[in-house]
Parts: sequence; structure tokens; C-alpha cells
Amino acid sequence: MSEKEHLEKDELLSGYMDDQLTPRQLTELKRLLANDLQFRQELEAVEHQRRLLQSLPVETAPAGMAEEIRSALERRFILADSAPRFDTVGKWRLHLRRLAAVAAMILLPLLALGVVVYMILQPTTAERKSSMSSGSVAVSQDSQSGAPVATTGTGANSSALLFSAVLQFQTSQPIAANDFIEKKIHTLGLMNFTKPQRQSDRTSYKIVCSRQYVEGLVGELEGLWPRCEKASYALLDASTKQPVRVEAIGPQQALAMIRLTDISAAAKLAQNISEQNAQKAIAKANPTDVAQPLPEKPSKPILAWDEGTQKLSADQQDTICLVIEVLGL
Amino acid sequence: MGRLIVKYQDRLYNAILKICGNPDDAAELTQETFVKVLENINTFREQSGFYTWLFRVGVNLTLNFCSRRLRLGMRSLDVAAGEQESSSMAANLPDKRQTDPVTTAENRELVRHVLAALEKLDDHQRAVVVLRDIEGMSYEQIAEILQIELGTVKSRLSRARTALRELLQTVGI
Repeated sequence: MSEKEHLEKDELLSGYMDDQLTPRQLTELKRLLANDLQFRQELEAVEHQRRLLQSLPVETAPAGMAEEIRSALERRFILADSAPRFDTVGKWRLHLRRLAAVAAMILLPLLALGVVVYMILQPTTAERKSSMSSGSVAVSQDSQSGAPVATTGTGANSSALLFSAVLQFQTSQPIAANDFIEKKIHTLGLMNFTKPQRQSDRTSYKIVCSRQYVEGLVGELEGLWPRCEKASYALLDASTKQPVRVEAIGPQQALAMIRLTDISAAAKLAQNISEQNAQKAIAKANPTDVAQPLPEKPSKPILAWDEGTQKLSADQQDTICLVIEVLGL
Repeated sequence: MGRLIVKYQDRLYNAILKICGNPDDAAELTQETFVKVLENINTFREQSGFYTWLFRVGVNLTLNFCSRRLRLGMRSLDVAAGEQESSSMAANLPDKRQTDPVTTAENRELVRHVLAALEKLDDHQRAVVVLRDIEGMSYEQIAEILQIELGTVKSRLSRARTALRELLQTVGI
């Protein structure tokens, strides 16, 4: 008899013992019982085995088990009353520690990245700060008059701006004019203090350095005036944040403007020069209306010190910002 | 709670003892089962009877204990001790119907052999035989307690009975 047949017979016997046979299996069992003596003996052995198992003595639980169970439960409840507090604290600590670890894992690389980004951007930021402190000047074209308009940045340091001005030239030979300016800047060694900016119709040179050098440069630029059709000057008054414009400014007038260290005096002078230049223009147009020619230089160039205004410190006086702008016609 | 313990403790203890074969271990496992069940009584969903649930916890604890004991190599010692205990169990349980000392001794010997053969079965086969042939549980209940399929119950029971029959035949029973 094969192993499979054995197993099938065993399952038939086992199923029969438990009344779990299907009608087909029951038929098969009856057939085997009728024809197979060994199978009959096996069935008897299985029945005998079952009787033996059922006749095994039933053991009773040891006396006092119920009491022991009750005591065990009480012990656990007592422990549970005190333990959870510590467990909870422990759990919280564990959660906190995990949270801290996760936060550290996220923040540390971010911090490192931040430091790297800061290191990369630092020069730009420093430059911006420097520009702010020395008075950044944005130059734009007045839509009405076409005159340059100088405005400071909106930073907190804009009020500390000491001297910011725009000297604008309008010329039909912008290339020659730019060439001239660049040469002068180069000659005076002001390359490191100059930030040129080129656009399609204009070129600007932002010079931030001591007043002395700027004076020297403007003095050197005297030769530029004949090449330009128009020259104007815009001075930013930090208190009003409004530029004071001087149209048709001459080289000496520009020098006089730059020499003035007091902003309000410079503003007053700018206004005077502006009026003088306007009268000049009228005189040119109608020579009979003007009896005497107006002096080119201001009669009182250093008016600022007479007004009792507070004198600025040497450092503050020294550094100024001048934007020289060349516009092509 | 007390009533529950009293009602089921003997049946549970008896089944556990037949599976693990050691009265001390059986007592401890029975106690552990009740504690575990009563601690988690709130989680009892009444999908099955309390009796089935109790036995499921008890039988699982016992089978885990048996496999742990086997891993630790304590089985051989327990079998030897178990044989003594089986005989002592049989000796401690007088058959009141028999007064003839010879018959009583023969019965004790028979019980000892049956218990010894039962102990030699594989733990899972022994559990299924105990639950079916000693505790008289249905296939469905056994499947739920052991958390196995109905077909597995049938085949495992058949193999267990065959193995037990062969073991008993070797000792002439």
C-alpha cells in the first residue's frame, strides 16, 4: 500500500471517529470495512485509543489557584498604578530625544548649507552695505525735463548720506566722452573706487572716494565740457530726499558744488547757480536786457560755514559719492 | 471574576497539563493565562466564546513555553521526569470503581503508557489531540484556538492519531 493510500485511510478513520466524513467517504469506508480486515483492525485500534484518551484521569487545578490568580492580578494592578507614571515620563523623554535627533539631523545640514551660502554671498552683502553707508545713488531720467534724478536707497543708512550727486553730460559723441572720462579715471588711479555701468543709451561711473580725488577728477574733466551739448548737476539733499538740479552747469560751478561739505549750503548754492545760469541763458537770448554779465563763480562759495551749521567730522567729509553719467543724443 | 476562574480553572489546567506534561508548569501557565485574559477582558469582542478565547490564550502560552523549553534543551530531562510524573499522576488518581489492587495497578500502568506516548508527540499534534479527544472540542473551535485552517486541523489530527496509535502499539496497547 502506498504512502498516499495510507494517509487517505488514516484520514477516513479519523474523520469517521469525528463524524466528519462526506457521503462518498462514508461509502468508501463501508467498502473498506467489508473487504479489508486490516482496516477493520485499525478502526478498532483507533476507537480503543480514543477510549483510552477519554478515560485519562481529569486533573484538577491545585487548591488556591483562584486566590493566587487574584493576588497576581492585584500585584499587577498595584504595579500598574505606579509604573505608568514612570513609563509615561520615559516615553515622553524617548519621544523628545527622537524629536531632537530628527531636528538635529535636519537642522545641522541646513545650518552648514546656510553657512556655505552666506560665505558665497558675503562679498555681495558687504558691498551692498558699503554702498548703503556711502550713499547709494540710483540715477534715473526725469520724464519731464530729461534731467538726471538722484535718489538714495531706502535703507536706514540713507539718512546718513553726506554727499551724493550726479553730474550728467549729454553729447552726440558719447564714445569720445566715455573714453575721455575713463582715461581721466585711469590717470588719477580711481579705478578701484569707480563702478562703471553701461546701458544702451547711457554710461554711468559711480565714484565713491574722498572729496579731494573727486575734485581732482572733476577738474580734469574740464576738457569734456566743450564736447558736450548739455551738462547738468543734481545734488541729493538727504533731509528732503529731493534732488536739487542745476541745468547748464559749468566746470567751475561743478567744482564749487563738490567743494561744499555742508549739504544745505550746497543745496543753496545749487539753487543760486541754477538761477544764475537761467539769467545767463536769458541774456544770451536777449543781450540788451542784461546790463552786466553774472560772474561764473559763486560770489560766496563757502557759505555753509557762515550759517552756524554743525561741521562734519573729517571722515564724514572725506568720502563722497559722485555719479558721472554720459547720455548719447 | 472569581466565578470565571472557578468555572474554567480545572478544564484549562487539565488541558495545559496534558500538553506540557508537568504539573508545576501547568499550574503556572494556567495562572498566567487567567491573569492575561482578565487583564485584557476589555478587549474581548465576543466574536468567539469566552471559553474558546481562554483556551486560545492558554494553549498558545503553553505551546510557546514548550518550544522555548525545547530550544533550551530541557525536553529530554522533562520527558524523563514526565514519565515519573505521569506515573505519579496516575498513582494519585485512584479509580474508585476498582478495588482490586491488580486491576488498579494495570490501569495505572495503562495511563502511564498513554501519557508517555502523548508526550512523545510533536507539541502541535499533541495539542490537537488533547483539544479534540480529551477536551472534546469541535474542529471549528480547534481551528480558532490554534489559529489554523479547518483542513489543517483535519490533517494534523489524522497524523497525530496515527502517530499515537503507532506509539501505543510499540508498547503493546
